[in-house]
Amino acid sequence: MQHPEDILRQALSGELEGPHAGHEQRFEKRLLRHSEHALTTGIPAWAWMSAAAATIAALIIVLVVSEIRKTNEEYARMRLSDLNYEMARTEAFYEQRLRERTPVVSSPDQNITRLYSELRILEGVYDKLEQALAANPGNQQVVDAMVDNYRNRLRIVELIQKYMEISNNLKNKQHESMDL
Amino acid sequence: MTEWHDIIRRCRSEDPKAQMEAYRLSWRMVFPAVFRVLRNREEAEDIMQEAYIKGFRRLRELRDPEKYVGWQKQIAVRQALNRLRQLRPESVLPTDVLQLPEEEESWPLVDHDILRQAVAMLPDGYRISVELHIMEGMSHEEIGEALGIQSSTARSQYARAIQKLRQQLASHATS
Repeated sequence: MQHPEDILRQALSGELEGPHAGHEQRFEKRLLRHSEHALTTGIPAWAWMSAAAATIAALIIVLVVSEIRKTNEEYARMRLSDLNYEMARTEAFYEQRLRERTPVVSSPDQNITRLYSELRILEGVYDKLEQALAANPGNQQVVDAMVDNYRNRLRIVELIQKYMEISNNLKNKQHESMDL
Repeated sequence: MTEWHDIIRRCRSEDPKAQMEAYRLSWRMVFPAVFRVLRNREEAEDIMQEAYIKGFRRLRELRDPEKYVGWQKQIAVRQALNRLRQLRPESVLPTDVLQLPEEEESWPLVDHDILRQAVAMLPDGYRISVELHIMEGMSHEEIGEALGIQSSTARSQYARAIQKLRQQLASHATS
């Protein structure tokens, strides 16, 4: 017979998974982005700057890589899931989150439209990155840029949700005050 | 001056090298706690990194640099719990305080896989209380603070989780 805490400690100690390889480099980039964004104020501005910075960084990588390998394979694509099981899980995770969280807006206002257009730009960049990966399978810079691209898209989607929530609340309050 | 005093001093001046050093020296202690709450590597990494950035912004609140790791872990766990509420709003984080019978001092030996499954199937509030207390060494006060409940409630949740686990293991043994 053993004490419950000892049994649980033994049972749970072996099951922990660590973060994916390259997390320190991803954090370094994130810190850099954050310090740049700290110079600006306001949430939407932060998000747009973030998307723009990510877009520019990703485009530079795409251009550099495509300059190095301009071959017939140019239009071939490789997905993250083609690399290994770990990346397949990462891709599935972000794809699912984006599917679940991207809201459908019937009459978007100017801010929502801007956010959606940033999203479309990042999607276009992702297509280019898939081509870059096909030309340079397993290239860590490209892989990191693809994961960053997913993250930025998810942040924009979350920002759209938040924005809609706030504007809906405001509309409701206006209706309530009109009713009164 | 100790190593942490120096790193924190430089982090307060927003030195990115020091911030990276703080991250490298401490993520091994912070990540497990976040992962135990969220049970997803990608999500846990994202939240942990977000919590570090938040921590760097709030470093003025840290009185003793030697306690940085524990302090950062608390921020990360709170952030992870917030994310869990966003992801699974239906997940019940119980807030009941119940008078529980005294827990038995010992358990029979059980298969670790069965026990792990039983823990994974507990409601989130119970599971988190067990994992953070036993595996991360967090006190009921710290867990209560992170969950936004009283320490007595956290203690009650923990006792209830242990009781539930014992019931599940007993029913497994009889079946």
